[in-house]
Amino acid sequence: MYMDLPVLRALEARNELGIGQYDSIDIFKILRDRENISIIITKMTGNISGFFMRKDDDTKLIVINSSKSLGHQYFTAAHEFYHIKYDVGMSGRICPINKYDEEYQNERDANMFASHFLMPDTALSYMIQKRTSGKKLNINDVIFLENYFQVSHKVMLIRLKNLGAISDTEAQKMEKGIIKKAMILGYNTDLYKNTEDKGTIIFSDYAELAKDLFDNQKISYGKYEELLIDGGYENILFGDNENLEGAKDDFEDSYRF
Amino acid sequence: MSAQILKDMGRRLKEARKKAGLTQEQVSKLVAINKVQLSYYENGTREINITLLEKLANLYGYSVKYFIENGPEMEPDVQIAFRAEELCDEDLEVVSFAKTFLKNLSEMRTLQRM
Repeated sequence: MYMDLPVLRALEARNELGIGQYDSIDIFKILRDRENISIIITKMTGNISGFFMRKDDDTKLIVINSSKSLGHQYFTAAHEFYHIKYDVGMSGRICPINKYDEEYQNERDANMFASHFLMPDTALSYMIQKRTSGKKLNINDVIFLENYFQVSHKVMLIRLKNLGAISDTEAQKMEKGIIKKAMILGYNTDLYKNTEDKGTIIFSDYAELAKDLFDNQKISYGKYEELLIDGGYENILFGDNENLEGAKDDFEDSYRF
Repeated sequence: MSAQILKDMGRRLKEARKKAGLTQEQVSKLVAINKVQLSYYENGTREINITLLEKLANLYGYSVKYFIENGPEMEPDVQIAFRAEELCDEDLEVVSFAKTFLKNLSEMRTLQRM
């Protein structure tokens, strides 16, 4: 059976990370905690999904546009992961949305990788079968599947069409009004919405590194402050320090280890 | 600063800007100076202050040292390929912030290993 290289790479990458063949993934956590890739999610106004940069071998950064839906953001993270992992000669790239001409072959490869990294064919087929027991897919099933795999509605429809699970006409009928439909079914609709209102979100060991260097007297307090401000961590220095104790947790009282 | 040093620095500033795919208009807006001023610096006819040089170095992905010392020509430390028309000026600020973030992160990792 023929398999496109980006698809093969997606399956291999999942395997290397020990992801179960039917499992959905938390892409931000995998990139940050397992691959040591920093992620910044922030608002961009141009026609950009995100970009990546690297410096030396061990410092990598993915920037994601928060004005796209959360589902789109997860896809972008997986897409940029492809560039970092396989476009080794490339030190940085900004990825425009929906450019599929020849000039952008590596963009198409990255898209194919992302789609199969988040949702391999076998996992998708398995979940369809488990959900429908062979019955025809309806919109409720599609919403279930995209929420299971945490992908956008658009990506889910494309994959279901490619898999032959729905026709073009069915996909077209299912395109609109998705947020309302998901809400009525009781799903959290964050997946379909942008995250602009959350401001800039950073997943990185940046602040911890700065603190460690300061604690070990490798940098002055002035430099520590400068690093935090440069890195978008003003809140650590000037933020509201109330409510940092967290909610009362009765767990420890109830369970003895 | 001697005229020759200024000229060399100006030439490097211009090349770095072009490698980053940016126009003089975009850069001048981003670092809040006017375009004529930027061309003075790129032609080596005016001295540049260190704060502005730092901003430009970050934006282009080079260290400040690269522009001050007339060492060998290099590719940027942090390079990012993009087509200028895909980005708005606000987005260039994000790119500039990301470059600084990455540079600091890399320097902190080096320092931690020492």
